[in-house]
Amino acid sequence: MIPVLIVIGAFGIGFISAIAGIGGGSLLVPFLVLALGYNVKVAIATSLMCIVVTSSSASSEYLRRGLVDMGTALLLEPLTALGAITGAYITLTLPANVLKIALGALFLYISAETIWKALHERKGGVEVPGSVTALRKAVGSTLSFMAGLASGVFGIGGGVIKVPIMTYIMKLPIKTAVATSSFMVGLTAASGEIVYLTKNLTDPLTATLLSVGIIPGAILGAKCLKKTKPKYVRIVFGAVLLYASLRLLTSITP
Amino acid sequence: MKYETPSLILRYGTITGLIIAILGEVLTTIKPTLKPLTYYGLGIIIATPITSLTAIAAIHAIKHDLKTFTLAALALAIMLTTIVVMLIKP
Repeated sequence: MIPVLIVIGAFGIGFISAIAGIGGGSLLVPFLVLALGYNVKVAIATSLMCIVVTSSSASSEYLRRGLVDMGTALLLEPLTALGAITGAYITLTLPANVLKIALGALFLYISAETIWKALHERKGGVEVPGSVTALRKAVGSTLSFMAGLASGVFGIGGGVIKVPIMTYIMKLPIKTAVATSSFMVGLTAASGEIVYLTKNLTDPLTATLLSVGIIPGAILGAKCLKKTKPKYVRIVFGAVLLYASLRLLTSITP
Repeated sequence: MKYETPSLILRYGTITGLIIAILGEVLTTIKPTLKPLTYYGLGIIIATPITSLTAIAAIHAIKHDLKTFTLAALALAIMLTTIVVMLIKP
């Protein structure tokens, strides 16, 4: 029964993620911890493996279409990978309660940002491509270390941090930023996952079942994108994440 | 710039890893000694983005684009060092 639940849950997460335009990591971890009762460290490690699968599938298409800005991706990736590895090490040493508080705070932030964006959405978006100074490149690289750190610590892709870095600091158009971030997420998540897999924290069956469910869910979500209003999906996503963060924060045991 | 080969590596590497992992899980229920097959599958999934990055580095090396090649090689070096350290460390 549990395997079926995991596949159905992952399918739903893939569907929502594709429509809301976010990575699945921020929903996968609460799903595993709160709905299925997994240990928070196992959930983080397993989620990261699933992110490698989804990101690789998506960025395969982006690379084929030439949408990835390889110069920016490779400029940011070394420090991001280093951040992810450091993050995974931090998670190994942190007590579960500290992780729950940190995760709860992160999801609270993402849910607030998602709802805010959905309510204050501007048509056309911000596209300000232009020249990037050495200072901007340095700031972008430093901040991408933080994105990697978040990925390694929390088991998320880190796109929620990378895309703003690329659009606002590296001045990439939004579509290029999303494609470049997706390519980078696979590499970053793989870097963090190396640490978890060698420490036997990844649940292989759950990772496989999640991957099996999330890909068709994301494909269906992408197909339904035109028929649904992303604004309302984002509000629902934000509300679910808000609930998850509150549940995480209240589940801390002395 | 379009990256056909790295794109193919990502697509088929992920599919192959996933199939081996599923096969491993199914076969483990019949013969528990086949559990490592699942880990091989997961290992292939992790190795896929790294292999794709290696192909990208090679493409830029062939084109004498030293800057992009160096950055790709740096990212690869960080990942490969981690793998080696994790395998050596008890």
